Amino acid sequence: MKQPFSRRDFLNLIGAAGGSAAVYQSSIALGLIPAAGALSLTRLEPLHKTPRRVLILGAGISGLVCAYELERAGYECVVLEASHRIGGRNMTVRHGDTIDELGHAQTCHFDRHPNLYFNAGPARIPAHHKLLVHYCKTFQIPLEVFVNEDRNAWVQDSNAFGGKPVRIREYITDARGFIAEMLSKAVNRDEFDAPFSDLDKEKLLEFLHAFGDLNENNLYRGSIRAGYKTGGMVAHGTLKGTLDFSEILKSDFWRFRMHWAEQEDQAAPLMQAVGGMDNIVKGFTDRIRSPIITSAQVRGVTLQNNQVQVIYQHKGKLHSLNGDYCLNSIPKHLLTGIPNNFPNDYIEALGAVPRGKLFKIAFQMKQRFWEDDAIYGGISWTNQPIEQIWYPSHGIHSTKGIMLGAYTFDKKHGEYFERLTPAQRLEEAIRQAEHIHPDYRGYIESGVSVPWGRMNHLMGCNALWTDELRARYFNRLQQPEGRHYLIGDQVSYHAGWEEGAMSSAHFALADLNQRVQAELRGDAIP
Amino acid sequence: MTRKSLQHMAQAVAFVWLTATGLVAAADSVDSTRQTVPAAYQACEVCHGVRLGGNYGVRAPRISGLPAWYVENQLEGFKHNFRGQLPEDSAGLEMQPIAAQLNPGEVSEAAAFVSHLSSPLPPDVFRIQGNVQSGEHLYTSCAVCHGDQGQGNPAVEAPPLTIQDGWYLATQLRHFREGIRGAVPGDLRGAQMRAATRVLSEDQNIDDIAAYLEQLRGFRNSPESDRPQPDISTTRHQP
Repeated sequence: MKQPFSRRDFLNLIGAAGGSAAVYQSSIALGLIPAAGALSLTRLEPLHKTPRRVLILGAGISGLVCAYELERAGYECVVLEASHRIGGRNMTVRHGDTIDELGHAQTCHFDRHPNLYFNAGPARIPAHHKLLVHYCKTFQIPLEVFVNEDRNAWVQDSNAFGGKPVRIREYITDARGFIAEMLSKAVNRDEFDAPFSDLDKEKLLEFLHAFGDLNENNLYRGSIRAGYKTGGMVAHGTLKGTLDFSEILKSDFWRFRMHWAEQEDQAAPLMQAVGGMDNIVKGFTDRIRSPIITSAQVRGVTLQNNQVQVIYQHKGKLHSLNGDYCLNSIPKHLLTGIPNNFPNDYIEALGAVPRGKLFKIAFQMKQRFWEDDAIYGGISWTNQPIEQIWYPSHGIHSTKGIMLGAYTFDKKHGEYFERLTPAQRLEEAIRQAEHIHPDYRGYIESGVSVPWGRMNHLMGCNALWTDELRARYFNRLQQPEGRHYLIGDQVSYHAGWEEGAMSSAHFALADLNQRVQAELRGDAIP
Repeated sequence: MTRKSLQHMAQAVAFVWLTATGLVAAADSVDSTRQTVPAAYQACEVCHGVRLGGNYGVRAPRISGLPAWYVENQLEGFKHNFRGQLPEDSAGLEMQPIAAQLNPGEVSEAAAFVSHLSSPLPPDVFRIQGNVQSGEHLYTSCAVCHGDQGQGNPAVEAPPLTIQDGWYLATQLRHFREGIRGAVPGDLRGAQMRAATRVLSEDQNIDDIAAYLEQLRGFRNSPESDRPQPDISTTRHQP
């Protein structure tokens, strides 16, 4: 049997000889692992007249990228999608849409209006997510700025400030001011291990002065950064009093939420697709000519000699397809329930990583009350289970708007909402949000909830990799098994991001391209 | 559910009944997928795996071939909030809303469907680690109700224990012992089982029993299994 020798084979050999560090270095040299920030677009070499069929399982972002790229290079592709809809977790909910949650199917009752949509999955496009931006640009998908941080939004914590909401602007300004003042005192008292030179000391004091907006005596007595209490335009501005530093410390806000917009993927600039993130999905489906079969549930994956066989059920009938390769984005926690003949160590790796349970609620508000509060986008944070409230960046000054009423990162919070009925979830989210916006309930016209841990054909969101799990299983899953490739954000370092899904797709395509080219050249394996 | 879809389902159930090779028959892993399930039950397969053969990935048990009376009891148990209420039981929480919306007729139909379904034995990758000899010894007290071969006893409403996987049996034993299952007032069967787990003082006892029951059942790939091995030639991608 003739088998091509791919770049991945080469890397396996190096790995056996020199360990993963050697693989990593060689991978960069071979161009398989892109340098951070670079566009890692795989250019598939055209097949010309040699037929090659690729079965793509799952019509989420990774599957769509594969279908689009492969068919342009002359591959025959078939995409099987278990759900009634295309896009996977890239899902924008609008008027009349079904939310296919197991046990609690919901219908969205938002008004039919271009502004009134809810991005239940990905909602932010960081400018450095090069593949995603590349496709948006290539497909001319209109993008607009997404406001991820609004200093006029609120931080509310039941353990601080008597549970009363505080403007993020005030919290951050005062926290920095107090820290700067303390540090400047330490500098003046030479309380550092290594003594600073006088020049260093002077510079550091100036730095702290600027960092915390200290006064001429290097003390923090409030700052205009927190906003004026009165005046500031036609009358002298009076500063607000400072918050109590011990209250600032009592709040959980400083653990990560205060630094939210400092993160690589959360810092400005961020963008969103105009009219809903699923316009990215549409960008692909408008161009893909290969069949994308929805409501096609896979019932078996078998590795055969030089082929992969996939059995699926569609409209009550069984179908069998053979392909030269299979690119599979079925969530690995569901793949373990589908009969296959994978080797045991591969199955073990598929079953090893827990699934995330991110949860979102959206409300249609009859009036954009937050704009009267000088909030235009961004997030209010709370230590209650809803965790976050988002204000829309688009449709400014129009009548109505869709607010995100909950977005839970903590798995406990996700599971808490999952076990409520949809009506109970909305009620609970309203009750919690009233601690931030007392009149919240009165503006609500309708709401929907999307618990990714209960969504049909997904039963989970981001793969919860830990360092330990990565060390043990990641390479195994990133490697193809025979002619079967596991793809999607689940086999990336960016679980839960479209860029992770796209990167994984291109990583697999690069390998597949090498193998097919070797096959066409008739290369033999050593 | 319409009359027509009920009829359709009844036909499908009858079809499966006729073609099933036995309650726990080990069909070829690929051939067994060559049977459809009625659309109403496709959602069950999302978590419980193809032909309800179980899925460790989402901790959904293998339920194909469980007796109808037991499946019915458990669906009713979920409906009455005996199961799937506590945060410690996340898999049960996932099941609860599904059971809650079934009417009594649908509960019976679902139970009949599940009981007549066969699925391949699971691969032994996720088998539980335990001392089989110790498990066999400990099992003698369980055998009074569940039978000496774990075959179950409908007369005392004790289900067979050689269908589900060891990881699932062990989880349930722990849940009984810790009051996560069998502690809701009104759950008489659960309370009985909960009392029976009081003797299991150590986690290792539980794993040993589960390992013993798994050995009684067998695995698709394990050498000690006397089940037919699937004949599938595999291609490994080797450098």
